[in-house]
Amino acid sequence: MRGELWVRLVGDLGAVLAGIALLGCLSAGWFGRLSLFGAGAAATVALAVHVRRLRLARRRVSSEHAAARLVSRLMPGVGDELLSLVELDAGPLQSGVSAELVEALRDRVGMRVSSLLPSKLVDLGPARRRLLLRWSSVALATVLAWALLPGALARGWRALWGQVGVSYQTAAEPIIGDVKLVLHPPAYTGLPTREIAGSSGEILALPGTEVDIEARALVSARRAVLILKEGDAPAREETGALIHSDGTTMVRAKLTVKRPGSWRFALGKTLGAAMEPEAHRIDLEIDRPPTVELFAPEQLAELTERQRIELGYSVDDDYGLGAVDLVWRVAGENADKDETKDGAKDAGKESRQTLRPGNATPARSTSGTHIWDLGELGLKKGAKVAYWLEARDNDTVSGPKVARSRTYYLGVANPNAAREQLVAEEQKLLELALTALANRLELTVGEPAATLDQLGMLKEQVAGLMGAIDLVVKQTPIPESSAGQKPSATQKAIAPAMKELAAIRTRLGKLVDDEGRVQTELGKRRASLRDVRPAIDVHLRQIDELEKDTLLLDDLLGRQRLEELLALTDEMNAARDRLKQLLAEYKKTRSAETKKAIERELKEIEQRLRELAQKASKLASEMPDQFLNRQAMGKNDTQDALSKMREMLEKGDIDQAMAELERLSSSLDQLSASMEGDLNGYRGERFSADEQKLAELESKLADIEHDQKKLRDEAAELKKRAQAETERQLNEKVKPVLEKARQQAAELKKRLAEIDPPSVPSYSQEDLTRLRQRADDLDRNLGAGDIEEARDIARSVELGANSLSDDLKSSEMRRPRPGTERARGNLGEGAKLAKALGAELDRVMPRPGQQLSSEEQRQLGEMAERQRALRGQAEELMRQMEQKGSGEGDRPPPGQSAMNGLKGADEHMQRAEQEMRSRDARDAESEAKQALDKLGEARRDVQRERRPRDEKQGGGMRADKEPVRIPNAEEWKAPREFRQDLLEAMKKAAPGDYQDAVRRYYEELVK
Amino acid sequence: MSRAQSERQRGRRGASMRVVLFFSSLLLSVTAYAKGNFQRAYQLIDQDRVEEAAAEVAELTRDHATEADVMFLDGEMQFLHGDYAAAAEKLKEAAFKLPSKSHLAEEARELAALSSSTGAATKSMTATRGSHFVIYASGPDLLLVPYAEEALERAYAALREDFGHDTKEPIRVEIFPEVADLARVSTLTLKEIETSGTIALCKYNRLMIVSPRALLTGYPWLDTLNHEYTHFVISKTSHNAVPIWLHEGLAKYEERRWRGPGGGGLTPSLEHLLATGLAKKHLITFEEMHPSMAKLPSQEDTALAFAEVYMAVEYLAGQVGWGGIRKVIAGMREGKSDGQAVAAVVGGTFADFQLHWREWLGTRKLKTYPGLFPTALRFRKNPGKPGKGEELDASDIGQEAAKKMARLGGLLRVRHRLRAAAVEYEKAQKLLGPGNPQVSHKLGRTYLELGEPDRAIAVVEPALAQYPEISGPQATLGESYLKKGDFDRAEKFLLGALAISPFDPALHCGLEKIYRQRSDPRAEREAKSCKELTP
Repeated sequence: MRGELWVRLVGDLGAVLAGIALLGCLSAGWFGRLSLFGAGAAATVALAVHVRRLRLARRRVSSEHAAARLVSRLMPGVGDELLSLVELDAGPLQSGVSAELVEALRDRVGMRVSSLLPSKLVDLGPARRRLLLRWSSVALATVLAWALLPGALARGWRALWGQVGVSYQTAAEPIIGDVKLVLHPPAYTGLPTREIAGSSGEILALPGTEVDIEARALVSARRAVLILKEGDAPAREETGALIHSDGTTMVRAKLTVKRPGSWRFALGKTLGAAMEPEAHRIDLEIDRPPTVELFAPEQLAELTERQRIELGYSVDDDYGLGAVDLVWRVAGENADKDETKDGAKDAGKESRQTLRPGNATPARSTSGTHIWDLGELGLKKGAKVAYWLEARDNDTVSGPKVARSRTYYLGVANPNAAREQLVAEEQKLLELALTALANRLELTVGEPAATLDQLGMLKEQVAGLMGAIDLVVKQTPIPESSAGQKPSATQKAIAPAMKELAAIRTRLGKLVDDEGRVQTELGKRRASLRDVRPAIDVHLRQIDELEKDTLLLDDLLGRQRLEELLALTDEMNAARDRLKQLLAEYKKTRSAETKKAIERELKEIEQRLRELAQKASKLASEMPDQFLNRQAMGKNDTQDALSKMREMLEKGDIDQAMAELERLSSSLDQLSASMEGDLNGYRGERFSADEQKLAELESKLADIEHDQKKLRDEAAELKKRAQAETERQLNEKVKPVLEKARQQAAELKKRLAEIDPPSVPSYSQEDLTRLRQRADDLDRNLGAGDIEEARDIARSVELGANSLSDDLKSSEMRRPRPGTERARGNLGEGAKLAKALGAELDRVMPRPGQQLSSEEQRQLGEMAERQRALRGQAEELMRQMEQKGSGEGDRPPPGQSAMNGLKGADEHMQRAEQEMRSRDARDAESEAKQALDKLGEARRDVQRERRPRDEKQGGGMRADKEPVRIPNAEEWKAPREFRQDLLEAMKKAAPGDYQDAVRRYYEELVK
Repeated sequence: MSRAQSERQRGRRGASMRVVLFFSSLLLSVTAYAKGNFQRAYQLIDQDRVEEAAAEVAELTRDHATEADVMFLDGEMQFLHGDYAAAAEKLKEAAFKLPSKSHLAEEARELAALSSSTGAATKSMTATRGSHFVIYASGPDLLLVPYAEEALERAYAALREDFGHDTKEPIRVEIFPEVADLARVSTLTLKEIETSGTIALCKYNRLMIVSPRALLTGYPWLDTLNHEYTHFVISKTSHNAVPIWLHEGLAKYEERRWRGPGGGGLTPSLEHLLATGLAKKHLITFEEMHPSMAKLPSQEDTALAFAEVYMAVEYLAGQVGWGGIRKVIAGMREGKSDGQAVAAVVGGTFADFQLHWREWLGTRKLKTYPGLFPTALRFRKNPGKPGKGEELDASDIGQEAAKKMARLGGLLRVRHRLRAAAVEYEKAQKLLGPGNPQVSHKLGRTYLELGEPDRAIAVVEPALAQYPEISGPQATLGESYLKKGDFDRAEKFLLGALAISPFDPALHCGLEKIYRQRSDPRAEREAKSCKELTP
């Protein structure tokens, strides 16, 4: 029964609310969303009434007593008893009331109540009819509204669900006029505020642009609404402002452009409003990503790790640039699977270098060149690099847009690649040879047929080895040197190895043929053990051959591995030499760039040291200890010297850094010498007579060089003493004449200064300048007390003045000039002064014999004898080398490379000897030194002959120093400059005659 | 040639010169404090009486701690007691205070530099204290400590018997990982060390040896330790008065004393050298041996000198017995020259003694061993674990063809083609004859790996007879007997090899097996070494 009551109440409430909603819809359709407040109020009242009714109904059945009373009222017979029972049960039985009677009453009431039906108790018919009537009325009203007022209903419905604008009536006529737009572009564009008066109201702007809209209201209005539609989103309303002035009403609103869409005003009074008949479009202007162009040299495949590359770039953006980065990836450094252009696996990790920082001065374009230093990338030999330029714009509204240029590729050369490949192949051949040898050594001769079968298999193994050799020889072409170029280290290393391999192939081939023939013959008949003998003989010859070949392959491998190590020390030495130059340069300039280059060289040496230690350690497990090198395995103090050098550089103590470099240098020299020694030892033990001859020659040259060095050192000591003595004598003799000499020099300078340049023909101007400079030098040297040098300069000034005077004379004959005669006079006087000065200085200069004591002169005499003996040794060596005649085939005999150096040394030795005999320590030292240099050259030539190495090693400085330039660089510069000119021109005011045309052009653009 | 050489740099003449120089400089610098005590302390140090000197210096320091001369002595004492850092500081300070051109200042500077470099070389070492010795070693060399301790304690007991010397302070022993370290802690250059084959020193109140792992095939390092300890004892008992020839002769004579009686004769290589020297009439004179064997121009000359002085001691012992030798030492301690002391005991003059000794040498019929393989020390260039390279090493084989066969054997063996390797080694051995230690060792090892211990023993035994100072044959024999189950013989050879090349894991693994079978507690130690050394 209670449930029925609930249904009635809720049904009633639903019908009332549905009616109110219908009315609300219609009202919103007619009067706008404001009328919804009325519908809302009505719905609230209806709800309140029903809540009250609900509470009343609930109270009527909320307790046992209330329910009993209700039943008693509806069905008096049963209800009374029920009420009595409820009241009796409500408390303890009163005295005098029989419990049995109460129980009997309970039973009776229970029986009667259980037979009661709720439907009989309450008649719900009227309530249901009322409910039906109410719902029918609502449905009928809805149908009628739908049929008669569909527009209002639809508008109302949409208004109810929040779709803005539609609740306004669309005006038939324009409701605003004189629209003015003020556009405030986003700050990042740097664009000025733009005002568009008399606009159609259509907006074309960048996202983030703030727009102020102002218009004159053409209808009277108390309120204004801006209806804004953005993309697919529902329209929303912004309250506009109304300004009444002088009888006109202006309407204003603000919007920020974010997406394409539209806007319109709605104007109205208290209830209802009309909106503009057409919305004004909002279109987005596009902020395009930057345009990036990178100009770089094509085909960069064989660079060094230290190469520098010139890159040109040009980046433009329509509004403003952000960061511009050079980005690169090194193939093989990561596991990404992109393919580079040439098929190499590209690497994952991108590295970048900023060419223009993101927070740089705002600009729309930038361009320039950048020297990209590969040395800073720490590339390994054979590395492949993909690189491009990446630019961002400065869009802070939608986020920066990124553009990248075309990708270029470069490769670092690996001059050792072919050699490394050959070593790997030779290792495989060695394994094959060893297997073939081992199988033959382990052969057990038994039953003839089985033995023959085994021999057949062994023959096939050797044939397999031959096939492998063929393949290596075929796949390892010897790189050819271009005309006029010396062969590279790789060429020098590969060619002999190929020759050896080919020889092995030929010898094995012959034996395999023999073995095949014997085995075929034996296979035709049933052979006895004795018959197998010829096959066994060939087998034994094969063993001998394989033994020889195996050792040869092992030797080749060992030598090439040691040479690989030495190649690394060469690279370190080259870096050391560059370092010396750089440090000297840095001492003078203190330039940051040089310091950076120094750091690069330090890193290079460190990297090579690491490689050396790695390779040497690997070699340690494969070579007898006697050929290993402790220093190569890291037992050297090079790293220590490097660290100290770096520390000194940081402190700015260049002198100390240079001292550390000297330590490093001597440590590296020691390392190289000791490794050369190991290689020589290896060759001496393992290689041919030629090698031993070269070793012998090198050793003899080293001996002569050693003795020559001693001679040079002694001569240098004597020269020093002679100089000291000269100085002493000069101090005594020269001081009195020095003052006069300086006066003469001053007079000479004055004479030369008096020469009027126009009096000297143009082609002699340079001579005059040089002459004046020499006169200055003369004065300076006199001031410094360097009499010997001053004397030489005085002589050269004399010659120069006379020569110029002659030139003036002949010029005068062809074309007289004013002042020439005077100039000639000055020159003549100058020459006389210089001559006198030279003669005076010459007079006071001690003679060679006077510079040395008699003991020292005797020593020079002895030295001349020793020099003669040394020259004899050098000549004997040359004779021996000549007697050895020509080499094998087209190969020169061993040691011929040293011949030139030896000849040069011989000449200087002869001169040194003469100077020693004439007791001239100064010239003797100079000649002895040159002889020593030539001997060193000869020894190094022999070393090179013994160990192939790249001639350009260490001389790569110049090539590395010059960056790889962009070919036809002007081609990319022209368009960039052209664009730049245009941009610059646009910033400037147009010339008067063109101002109208320019204005029209921009107006067109705006439209 | 001896596998290991030791060095005594400062003989009596050197000491005297030092004292003279010192006192001349002292006259310039000494102040009014106790000159007598000072002189005495200095002399005591010079006489290797360090414990007595320490007491004197302590007294001087108490009263004159800030005097430069006392600081010098104090620094030197600290150096002699192994406190290198403190010694360097003290000596630098003394050098700063002393007149810069004085001899003492120069000596202080040199000793300060030596203290610093010794401190650096020993910084990472761990000390192991025993009854009479404190052994300092680091890294893998700690493995040597128990064996060294055992051998030195035995030597201690034996030499106490021979020389009557006892010590209160534990003796410091340092084991250096590389031969270059020896140059850092002494006044010898690396070149001198490598040329002479010096591998150990007894100097500055301590014993110093280079670890056998610094050499390609090890060296008799336990004999060498004993050799150095003998020097130590002689210096103490003679108050540093014994000249080099007798010092080295006695040390050589006693170097096997830790494992048996002294003497024992020359090894074939030393006998060969001496016999050749006698035949060519080229012997090193006692004077040429001064001031140090390490200064001799080659390892061969050094070895010849050792052979000579060993025989001189054997002759002396034969003439006057061990008691006579003790008397000779006592004579020198009391201030007699070597000639006077020897003459006093032997009779006649020292020249007579030398003449008779040479005649006696002629009667000994020393043998030459043609084709004997030179066993000069070979310092390892690669300090890591032995690799394939050692297997391929055939550099000491003189005959070209045999060398090639041995190389091929090595190439095949490292590839586990054992049967083929054996064929090549056999070819090499056929060319060289039995007894070439390199080939026979490699062939023996190959037979062992092929499971043929009898053939291995047959190949290696002739080599052992000629080269007892090489570990290879002993190791192969030890392993062969182990395979055959003859544990007693196996132990003897394995221990013999271990006393030369203790970083061979096979030795320790073999000994572990033997000791386990006997329930010997040393099994654990060997098991640990076997595990650590096995690659």
